[in-house]
Amino acid sequence: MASESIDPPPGWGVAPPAIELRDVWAGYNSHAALEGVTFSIERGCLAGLVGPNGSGKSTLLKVILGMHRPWRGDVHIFGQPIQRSRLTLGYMPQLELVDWSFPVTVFEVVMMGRYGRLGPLRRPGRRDREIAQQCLEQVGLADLARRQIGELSGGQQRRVLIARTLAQEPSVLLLDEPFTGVDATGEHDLLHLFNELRAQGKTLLVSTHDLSCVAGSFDHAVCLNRKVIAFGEPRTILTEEVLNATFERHLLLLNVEGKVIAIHE
Amino acid sequence: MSDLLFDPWASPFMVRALLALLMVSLVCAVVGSFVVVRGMAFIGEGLAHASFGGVAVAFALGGSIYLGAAVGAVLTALAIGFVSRRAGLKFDTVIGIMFVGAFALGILVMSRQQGYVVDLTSFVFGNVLGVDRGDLVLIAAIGTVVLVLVAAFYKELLFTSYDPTMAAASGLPVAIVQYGLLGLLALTIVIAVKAVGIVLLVAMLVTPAATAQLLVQRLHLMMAVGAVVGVLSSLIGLYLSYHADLSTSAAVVLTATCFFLLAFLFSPRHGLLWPRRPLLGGAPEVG
Amino acid sequence: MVATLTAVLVAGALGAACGQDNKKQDSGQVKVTATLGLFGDLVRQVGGDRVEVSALVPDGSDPHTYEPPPSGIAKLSQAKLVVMNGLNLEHAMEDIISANASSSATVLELAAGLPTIQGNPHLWLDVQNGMTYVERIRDALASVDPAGADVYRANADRYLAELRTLDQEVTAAVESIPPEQRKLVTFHDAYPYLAQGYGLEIVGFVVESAGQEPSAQQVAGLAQAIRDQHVPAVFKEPQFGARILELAADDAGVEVCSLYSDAFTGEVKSYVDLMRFNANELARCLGGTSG
Repeated sequence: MASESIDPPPGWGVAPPAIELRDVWAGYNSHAALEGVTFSIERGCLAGLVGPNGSGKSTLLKVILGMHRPWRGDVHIFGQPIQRSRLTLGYMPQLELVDWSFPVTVFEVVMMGRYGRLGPLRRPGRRDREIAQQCLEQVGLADLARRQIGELSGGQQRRVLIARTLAQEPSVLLLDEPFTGVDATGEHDLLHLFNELRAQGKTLLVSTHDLSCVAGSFDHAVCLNRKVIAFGEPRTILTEEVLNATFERHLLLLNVEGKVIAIHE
Repeated sequence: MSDLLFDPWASPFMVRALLALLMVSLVCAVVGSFVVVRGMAFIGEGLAHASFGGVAVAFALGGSIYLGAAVGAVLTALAIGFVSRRAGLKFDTVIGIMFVGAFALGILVMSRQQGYVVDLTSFVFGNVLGVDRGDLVLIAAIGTVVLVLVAAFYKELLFTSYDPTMAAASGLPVAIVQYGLLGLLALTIVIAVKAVGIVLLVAMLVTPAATAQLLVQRLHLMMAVGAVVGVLSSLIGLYLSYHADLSTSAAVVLTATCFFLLAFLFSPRHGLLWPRRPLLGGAPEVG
Repeated sequence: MVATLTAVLVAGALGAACGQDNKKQDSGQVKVTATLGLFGDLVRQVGGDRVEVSALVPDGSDPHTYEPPPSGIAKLSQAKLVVMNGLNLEHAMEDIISANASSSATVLELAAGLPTIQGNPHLWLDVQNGMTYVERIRDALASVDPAGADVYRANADRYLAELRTLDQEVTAAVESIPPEQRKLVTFHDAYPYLAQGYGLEIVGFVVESAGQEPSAQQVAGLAQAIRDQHVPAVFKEPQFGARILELAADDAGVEVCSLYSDAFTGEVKSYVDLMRFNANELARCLGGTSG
C-alpha cells in the first residue's frame, strides 16, 4: 500500500494543511466506523474521499465538522482544532437527507447558510441577504429565488444546496456525495464549479463512489475502508491493489488514464 | 338572519369560549406548523394523553391542574427521548409505550379518587364552555410566552426542522432546539386541553396547519393560514354548538377537518380535483 | 424454572379457593350488599345487628358510571341479599351483579313496579317512596332470614315512623317558600320525584346524564331560563364539579346551592340526614324559612 508521509521535512516552513487528521478512531456504541485514520489535505486542493457504502465516509466528514466526537485522535483545520474552525468550514449533506416538501423558498434555504454565523437571537441583515444573492448567482439560480424548493428539478436542487454551502463563506468545503444521481452533463457542470472554487483558493473534500471522476479530475484522493488504505495523487495510488483493499467484494470497472482495470471477487 | 349571527354573543360564557378558542387556535397553528413539517403528530398525540396522567396526579394532590398537565407532558417527553436513545428502539415505539403508560396512570389515580371525577373527564373531552376569566388570563399569558419564544428562535427552529444535519454542522444546538420545541408543545397542550380536551387536541395542532400546507409554500405563511383556519373553525363550531345543539369541541374539530378536505380537493398545487400545472425545468416532480 | 413457576401458580390458586370457603363461616350475620351507601343505610336501619352491610359504590362516586374493584365484587359474591335500585341507575354495574351474585342470593330491585316519571330512577327523593323501599327491604330480609322477621318488623316500624316525621318536615320546608319561587334548576335530572312529591317546579338541568359534555345551546338555554323565570338559586350536587352550572349562575347573578341525590359525603351520612339537608337548603336558598 502506498502512503505519503504526514510531516513535511523540518525546515520547509510550509503553511499548515487545510485538513489534517491524526490517528482518528470513531464509531457508534462499540462499533468502530473509523480506525486509525491519518491523512492531510493541502490548501487549495480538490480532494476525493472514495470508498464503498459503510466505509465511514459520512462519519469522517462529521468528525471533521465537529458533529461527531472521535474516541481518539486529532483533527486540525489550518492548524487549529475544530472547535475554533467552525466558521471556516462549509458543508453540503447528502441530497436524499433533505426534505423537499418543506415549505421554504430557494432564497430561504440559501439564507440558512448564514445562520451559523449569527447568534441565537440575531436576525439576518442586509449583508447576509447580499451574500445569499451572490451565491445564488454563482450557481445560476438567481431567477428561481422565490420558488418553493419542491418545484425544482434534481439538478437545480443540488445547486441550491451548493449555494447554501457557499453562503457559509467557507475556506474548506466538505461535500457528501454531491455526484450521486448526476448525469454526465451535470457532473461536468459540478466539476467546473469545483474548479472555480479551487481557483479562488478554497479547499474541497468531496466524498463519492465515482472513481473515474476522481481519477480524471481531482488533485488528491483518500481511499477509505474504515482505515485509510491510501492517500495521494490519484494517478499514483489508484492501483488494482489499493482498489481491491478499498472496495473488497464490489465489482468495478474503471478507466484510469486509458487503462481499464477490473476488480472482482 | 342577524339574530342567527348575534344571538350567541349575548351570553358571556359564549364570548369567553370564543376568546379562549381564538387564542388557542393561534398558538396551535404556530406550534402545529412545526409539528406538521417535522412529523411530530404522533408525539403530539402522545404528550396530550400523557398530560392526563399529570392532571390526575395534580388533582389527587390538590395542586394546580395546569401545572400537573405541563409536568406530565414534559416528563413523558424526556422519558421518551431518554429511553429511545438508550434502548435503541424506534422513537415511534417508545412514544406508544410511554404515553399510554402515563394515561393509564391517570386512570389509576382517578379510580382511587373518592370524589366524582367529572372535572377530570372534562379534560378528556374539553370544557370550553366552562372557561372563566382566570382561565382566559392563563391562556393569554402562556400563549404569549410561546409565541414570543417561537419568534425569537424562529431561524433555529426553521433550520433544525428543515435540515438537522446541516444545522448541526453549522453549530446549532439541534438537541436543545428539539427539547425546546417539545417544551413549547407541552405548554401548547396545557392551554389547549381546557378548550378541546386531550382526545381532540391533536386535531387543533395538526389539521389547520396541514390545511395551510396544502395552500401555501412558506412556513410563516403556513402559520398565518393555519391560524385563520383555526379561528374560522372555532367560530363556526361555536355557532353550530349554539344553533344545532352539538358538542362544542367536536363541532370545532369537524369543521377544521372539513376545511382540510376542501383544501385537499381544491388546492391549486396539490388538489385532487385541480388540473395539474407543469413544473419548472420540465422535470418530473421530486419527492 | 418453568416447573417451579407452575407449581407456585397452582398452589396459589388452590390456596385462594380454599380461602374463599373459609370466609363464609364468619360472624352469623346476614351478609347484604347494596349498590349505594344510601341503600346500605336503609338496610342497616331495618336489619340492625343481624346484618353485615357493604356498599359497592363508595361515597362520592357516580353510580351511573362506577365499576367496582375486585374486593367489592368478592363481597358481592358472598352476599345473601343484593339490594339495588333498578331502572338503569346502576347501569354500569348490572352485568357485574348478574354475573357475580351468588345463585342462592336474592336480588332486590327497590324500584321495580313502582309508578315512575318517565323512567327516572331517583324515586327515593320523595320520602313516600323511601318508605316503600324500607318496607320492601323489611320483607326481603324476612324472607332471607326468617328467624329475624320480628326484629326486622320492629326496626322497620320504628324507622318508618321516623320517616313519616321527616316527610312532614320536608313538606313544611317547601311550603315556607313563596309559591312563585319554588323552582328547581339542577345539575342533572335527578329530582322529578322531589319536585312532584313536594310541589316544586323543575325549570331545567345542565346535562341529561352526568359525564356528557353539554352543547352551547344547552348552556345558553339554561342561562336564559334562569333569567326568564327569575329563579332565586341553582343547585349543584356536592360530589360533582359543576363548572357550567356555576358559570351560568354567575352570568345570571344567582346563588349556587347544593342538593344531594344519591351519594353521601362527610357531612351527610344517612338517608334522613340527606333529606333533611335538602329540605333546609331548599328553604334557605329559595326564600323560605328553614325548619
